[in-house]
Amino acid sequence: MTRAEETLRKKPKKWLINLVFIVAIIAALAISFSGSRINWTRFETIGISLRIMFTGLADFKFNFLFGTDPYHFEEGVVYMTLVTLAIAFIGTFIGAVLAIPFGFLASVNVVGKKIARIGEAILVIIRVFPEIVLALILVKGFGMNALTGVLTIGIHSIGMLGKLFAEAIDNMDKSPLEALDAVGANSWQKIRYGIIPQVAADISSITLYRLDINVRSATVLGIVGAGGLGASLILSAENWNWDILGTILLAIIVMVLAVDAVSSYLRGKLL
Amino acid sequence: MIKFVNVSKTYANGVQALKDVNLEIQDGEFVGIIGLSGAGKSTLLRSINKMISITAGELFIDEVEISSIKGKELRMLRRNIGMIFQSFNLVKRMSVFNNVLTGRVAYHPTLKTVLGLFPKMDKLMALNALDTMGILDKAFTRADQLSGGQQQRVALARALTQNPKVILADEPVASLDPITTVQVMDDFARINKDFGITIVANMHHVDLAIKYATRIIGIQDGRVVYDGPSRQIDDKTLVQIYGRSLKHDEVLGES
Ligand SMILES: Nc1ncnc2c1ncn2[C@@H]1O[C@H](COP(=O)(O)OP(=O)(O)OP(=O)(O)O)[C@@H](O)[C@H]1O
Ligand SMILES: [Mg+2]
Repeated sequence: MTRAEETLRKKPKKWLINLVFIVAIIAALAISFSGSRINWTRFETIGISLRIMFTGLADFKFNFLFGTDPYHFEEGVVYMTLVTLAIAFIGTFIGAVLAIPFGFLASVNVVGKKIARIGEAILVIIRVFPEIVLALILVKGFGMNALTGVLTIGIHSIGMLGKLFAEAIDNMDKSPLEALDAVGANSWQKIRYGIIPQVAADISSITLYRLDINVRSATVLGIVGAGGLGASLILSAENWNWDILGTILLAIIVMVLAVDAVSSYLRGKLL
Repeated sequence: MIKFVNVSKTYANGVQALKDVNLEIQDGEFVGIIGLSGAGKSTLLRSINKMISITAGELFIDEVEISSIKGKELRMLRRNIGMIFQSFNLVKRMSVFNNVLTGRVAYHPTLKTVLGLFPKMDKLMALNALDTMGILDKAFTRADQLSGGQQQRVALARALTQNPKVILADEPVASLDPITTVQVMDDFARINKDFGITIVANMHHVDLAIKYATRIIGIQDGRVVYDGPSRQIDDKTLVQIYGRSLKHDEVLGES
């Protein structure tokens, strides 16, 4: 037997493990389907529903879009889109500002291993709290309005932004901090001249990326009453107002694409 | 004046990097520290501005014993001592000018410096230092757009802006090519002569140390084994410092 043949013989036998996995996945799927009580008869009428939906969707209501007669401007899709954008924008801004101290608090470079672990734990707790749950709670406190949306997005963003900021701070070049120590700088001066110039571009880029995510969130959050387009979206869907729904969908698509393009462009410029 | 009296340094892991060092460095000297890797050169140099704290003995800077000072007092000590590093230690994403200006931070209240409010005098000092180093035209470019030699000059300008009495240099030319090395060493010599600033430099290249320093301190395994004028260095002293005689190309630093 050559050494190659011998090695081939020793090749780990994975097929048994793979088989177990495949069986387990199939079993899990079967259990899920039987447990979920999917109403299969619905599939028979779905064609009709979809046809009504698509003809309706193609039928834009321009006065609803721009909020002209018989609608008020504030009921128009353009206005609601701007509100949604504003919620995302302000929420992201608040989140980013608050995430900076959390980022420092979770950075080994700044506060050392022990405190960083505590900072990280706080961020994990914020992150695991689903956004929609947070919104539902805040709606009770602040009512069905844009403020609720802003706060939900602001608070929820801290979790991911803080973690990414901390990572940016920990990945940066530490040698300037040594030089700043040597010139007699104190901690604030080290943050200002050693850390911020190095991470400012990263922090801006991460925040823009988050803005992208938050625009989508702001739309969905409207569904639970946190202001913006979502409220009309859910209302029109429930009332089978396909023309109104179509108009809103158009606005969402345009808005998301526009924000995506702008944020990608700006991020490209930053790096 | 820098004075070591029976100084020893034992690191937390038990390594004794300095053993009973006694030295006196006068103002205006150009001292080269040589020795094998791990001999304790960096430890010696960094104990002078307390980047490393000694564990025994006394260390005086201008009659002040520094082993007990900390906080604000320590920062006041450090602002009078410039430091140059092998890898320049600049903020690469910041302009050359702002890098040099950081040499002034310890002279002003925290709030003012954090807001970037430096007096005009300081800004002129920074620009003059860049002029002295021959790179005034690079003032407003980002530090990462400069060559290694230019970056080390920015670091020197930063040190000069501190208005220091002493500049410590930990292998300042180790990451530079031979021609740039000579230029940067010439800069050190010029700063030493023109401004009377004491230079203490760790160096791997024996020939460079002998050429530029007026005094050589040889370290072996944490002990000072040679301390004298650089022109008196001969093969025998090199054997003392390095434990064996150096071949010609090693002396020239081409190994
Ligand atoms: N932070 C530290 N903790 C523990 N031991 C250290 C530390 N720094 C240095 N040492 C040890 O102390 C001794 C002297 O180190 P030092 O860095 O002063 O040597 P050096 O002469 O500068 O060497 P090189 O030429 O390689 O820079 C070495 O044995 C080193 O391993
Ligand atoms: Mg060293």
